[in-house]
Amino acid sequence: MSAGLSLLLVASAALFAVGVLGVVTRRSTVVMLLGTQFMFIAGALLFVAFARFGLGAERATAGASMALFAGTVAAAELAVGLAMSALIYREHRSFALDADRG
Amino acid sequence: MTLLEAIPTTTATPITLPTLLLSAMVWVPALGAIGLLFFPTRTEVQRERARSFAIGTAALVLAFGVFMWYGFRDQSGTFAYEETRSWLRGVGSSYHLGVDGVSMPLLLLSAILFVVAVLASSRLREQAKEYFILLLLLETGVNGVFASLDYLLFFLFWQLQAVPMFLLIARFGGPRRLSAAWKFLAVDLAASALLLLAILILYFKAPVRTFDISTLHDLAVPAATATLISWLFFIAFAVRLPAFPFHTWFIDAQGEASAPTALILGGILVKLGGYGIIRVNLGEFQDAFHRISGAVVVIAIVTVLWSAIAALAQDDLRRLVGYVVMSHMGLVLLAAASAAPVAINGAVLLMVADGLTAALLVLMAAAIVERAGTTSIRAMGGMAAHMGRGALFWILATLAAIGFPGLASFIGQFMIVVGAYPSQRIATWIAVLGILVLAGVMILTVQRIFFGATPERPGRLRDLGTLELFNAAALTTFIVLLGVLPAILMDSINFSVLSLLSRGSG
Amino acid sequence: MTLALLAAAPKGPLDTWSPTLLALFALLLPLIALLIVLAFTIDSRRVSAWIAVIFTLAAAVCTFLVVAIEVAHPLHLERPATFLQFFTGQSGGAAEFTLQWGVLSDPLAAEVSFAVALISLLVQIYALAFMRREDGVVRFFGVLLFATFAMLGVTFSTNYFEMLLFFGLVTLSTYLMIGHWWQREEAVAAASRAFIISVLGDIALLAAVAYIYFRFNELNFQALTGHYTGGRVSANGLFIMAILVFIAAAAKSAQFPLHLWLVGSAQAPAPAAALIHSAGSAVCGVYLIARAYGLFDASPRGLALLAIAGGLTAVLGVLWALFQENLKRAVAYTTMSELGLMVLALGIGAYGASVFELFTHAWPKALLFLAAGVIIRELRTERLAEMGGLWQRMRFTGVLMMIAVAAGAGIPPFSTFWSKDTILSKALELGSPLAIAVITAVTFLGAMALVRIFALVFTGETARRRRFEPDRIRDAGGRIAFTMAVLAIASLISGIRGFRGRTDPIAFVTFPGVSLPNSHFVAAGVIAASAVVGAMVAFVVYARRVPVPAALQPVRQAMGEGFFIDRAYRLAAVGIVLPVSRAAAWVETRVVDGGLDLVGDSIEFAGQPRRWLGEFRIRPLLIGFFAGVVVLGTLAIVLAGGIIGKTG
Repeated sequence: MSAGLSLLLVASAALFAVGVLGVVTRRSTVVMLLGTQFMFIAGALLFVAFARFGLGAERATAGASMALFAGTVAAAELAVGLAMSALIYREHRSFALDADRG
Repeated sequence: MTLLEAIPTTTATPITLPTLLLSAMVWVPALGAIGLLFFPTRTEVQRERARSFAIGTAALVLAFGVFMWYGFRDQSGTFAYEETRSWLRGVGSSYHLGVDGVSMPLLLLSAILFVVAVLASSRLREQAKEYFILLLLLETGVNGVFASLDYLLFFLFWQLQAVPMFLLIARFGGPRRLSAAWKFLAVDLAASALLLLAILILYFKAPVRTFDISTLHDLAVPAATATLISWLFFIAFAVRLPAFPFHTWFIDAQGEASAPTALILGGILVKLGGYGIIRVNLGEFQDAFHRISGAVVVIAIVTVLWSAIAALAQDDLRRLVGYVVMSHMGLVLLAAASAAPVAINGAVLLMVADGLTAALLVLMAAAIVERAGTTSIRAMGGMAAHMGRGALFWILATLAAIGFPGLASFIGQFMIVVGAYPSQRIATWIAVLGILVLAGVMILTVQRIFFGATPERPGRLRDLGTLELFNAAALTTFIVLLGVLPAILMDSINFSVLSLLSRGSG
Repeated sequence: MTLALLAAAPKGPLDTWSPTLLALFALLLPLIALLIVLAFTIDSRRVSAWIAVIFTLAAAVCTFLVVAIEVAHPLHLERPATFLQFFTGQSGGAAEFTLQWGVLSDPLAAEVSFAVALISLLVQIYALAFMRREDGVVRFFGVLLFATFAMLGVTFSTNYFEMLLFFGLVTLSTYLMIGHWWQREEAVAAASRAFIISVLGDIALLAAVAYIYFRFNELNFQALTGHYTGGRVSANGLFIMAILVFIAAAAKSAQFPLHLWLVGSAQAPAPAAALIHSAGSAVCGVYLIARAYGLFDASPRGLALLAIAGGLTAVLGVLWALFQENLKRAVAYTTMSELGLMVLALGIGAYGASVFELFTHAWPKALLFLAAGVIIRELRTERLAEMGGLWQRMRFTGVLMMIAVAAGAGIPPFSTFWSKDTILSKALELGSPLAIAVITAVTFLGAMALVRIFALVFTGETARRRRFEPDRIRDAGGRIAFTMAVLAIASLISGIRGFRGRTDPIAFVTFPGVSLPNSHFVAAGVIAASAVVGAMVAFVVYARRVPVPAALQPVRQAMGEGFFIDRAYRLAAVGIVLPVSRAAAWVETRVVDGGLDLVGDSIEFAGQPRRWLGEFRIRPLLIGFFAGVVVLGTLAIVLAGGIIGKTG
């Protein structure tokens, strides 16, 4: 296990931690969605890291393609999430999750 | 290829004729759910249409299942209706479906129970469409697990069940539904994480890069790893079983979920745990499982005893039903630990029987609770004066749960006891005690709910309505049929169990 | 050998009907009747009742034919059918797992099944009139049909599995009979108790089946008779099997300490109680022991267990019977005593006599309960203290009851005299002073108990009660009188043995290797004497209503309550089991759930919006962030390295 791989793994873990913190501790749906984006990035980074260092799947391109896939899913999820946030805002004039509880 | 061409006939060699029946059983509910999305539900007529569509979808799946059962015994080879399509060739996962004598009866059970559940939810007033969508998605997940012969596919369908179940409990449940729903989700996801971990370790340790279940034995994997994998799989399935001490999510969910959801949960969802243990732990990792069987037996016995004892002090009728199911699944676990053919036959039979029995218990419990206005058993009494037919079906369900001869569970429990005894003498004796305690609890419950003096109750309470009666009668018919003629299932089950056991032992 | 015997037998009209076929008919007819009633006539009381009676009559005729055939050619024939069979792929004897059911026909089954069917028929005819004005008549007849089916199934069972199956059905039928008047709390409680004890027996039988199958790979009674003595199983193993089978039998036949339900069975309507005690659940247990006698014969300790338990039950039952205030309960305790005597007889090897006792005892016991039903209905009370003076008002019932009491007591030449005499003969042959003493004492006290009932009910003056007109009492008539009369006749003649040219009833049912005792005149004399003397003593004491001295009152109460055993059980249940259950619930909510809730709560706590986070203070945030990253990162690296690194 090379040093580069370890560094990438640490970075990925860090990004994931940021994402989790964001989702769990913040009230605003928009910020929570940002957190989920961080988590997706962390996963994609993992895929690319292992592909780059030759471990895992038979073909080296598999990791990169999974990262692309993850990015696409992230974008789609962000779109849906932001749409729902817009609806919440329209209803309660606030992005907060518990906005309907007054 | 049209579905008609895909239907296997008995004259042609079945194994060469490709078929879509299994895929149909798995995916039609999801398609139905998506279709339901497009149904408007503003007026009552529109809602009726949505309801009919949902019922039709579930019935169609059941029709497929029945049709498959007819052609089942003509299938040769280990797995019937096998479908193999390349899916993720890069990682070695294929779209591999197939059923054998262990999964086919359970698949059929799932189809039946979902029809019953959809019928039983017909009386929902609000958000019925969402309810049906979630139920149908759940059915896809359940059927998919039974049909999967590829680990990745298995895991995918397993995960598919988590969110619909969570939403079903959280939105359509009793007063403490949110807590129960969160508990379910947390426990289920944790168990799924263990499941994924086991699958991944297996994948990476195997000499061949594949996710196919039958290809991956514990042969080429070093013993320590095999034991670890076996443990992980076992815990993941044991949580779903539900085995002690991972069972509280189940009891809470049974107590809070609405009747059709509880029906599916206790009737088929927990059977997935038992199925997983038989298919994976026994079928593929028999030696490793044998090494941990001591602990498994202890867990099984504690499950059986604990559920029976906890049931004694239980006042909530719906939670009591949960303990009954848990007790039976404990017996299934004991049978799996003994790895005796007779016992495992009994375990499969008991799972099918318990699915039907649990469904009947849940439905009748819901009917009783609705009329009594309370879930507390102590507050009931003399209900037989109000609901004679309900009393009859509840007593029938009680007898079925106890293992009364002539009803479905009797043969299953009998075979488990006789089959497990040679290898697990003390454990079998203790398990039998658990059956006795449960029998006592159930009969006392009957007394407390239905008999004795009838107190004054507000309003006029009606006996079972047509729909409730139909559901109860259908389930009862199956319970009696299976009890009197278990032989209709036995040959297929036995054949598959024997081949499963012989394959797994390398 | 049986085929050769059949070929050698003289041909006659009865030989064309195979007894097993008749047995099958007898078994299925009640079930068919039940299905017909459930499907078609459930709304009509009269039609349902008559269907029940007609089909039971047909079943009784079939059993009579079986008896006739077996008397002519005593054979053991079986007609098995496979219930479940599959290949287990294991080596040796376990290669195939087979469960069979079917019917058999042999002298034992014939004798008992005839009693069952005939008593069921008479009870139903009685119920036609007795239950006429009640609710749930159709349910009652359905339950009686079901009980008949279950009982006949027990008598015709070919193997342990089938016996277990029908035992379960008997459990349910007993529950339904006792709990028939479900609006009454006492009836329902008694029914639940009977159910639990009966299920305990069934579970014990299940355990026995598992053990027997494990050791012998065989469940068929006939096939097993040779295996017990083969030495394949140690003496301890055989004893364990015997204990388990005994527990199953004890639960059904109310042997001590599983006797509690029998008294509660008095809550059942009179016809049902009659059935239970004379040809129902009470009989099943003794029958099981008789059927599985090979096992007990091979285990001397098992026989000793039978003798001790049976003797204890007999003595306790009859002692408690003497102090009962309630008519039906008093009769119920005498049944317990008789059942104990039967088990004791089996224990000392008086096989034929025990089965014969089962047969002869059934008629007077049924008659007692039916008469009790009439009496209770007319007097509108169940308490013996409120009865009396019925001899003038209900002469017919009185005469019949006198016959029943005499027959049950063992006064010659009535039915049970002949069987008790043979039992005592066997005891004399064995030379066991304890057995002799017990049998004599039980006969003596049993006679006392029965005559006490008769005296308290029929002699003296009818007790005065408010709102009760003694002059309104009418004697039994019509169908009720008819059935009781039939039973009385049966009580009179069922014991008679030793006529020239006819088969000796006691020698009818034999067990290979168990010898028939020679009938001692001494035994006959002792039985006759103890019965008669006991009867006279009781008549003198109770007809005069001699009051119990105050000092003996607590004894009386203890006896009446059955030594408070029932209360002890309940205390144990409430005192031990319930707290355990509550402890389990506590562990669940606090410990197991507590862990889960802790996780959930902490997540929720973390998830709640915190104002100070929103105020974006950098330093604590950064510290926490880096700490988390270090921890997570280390974990990730270690795990990934461990798993992936090994494949290199």
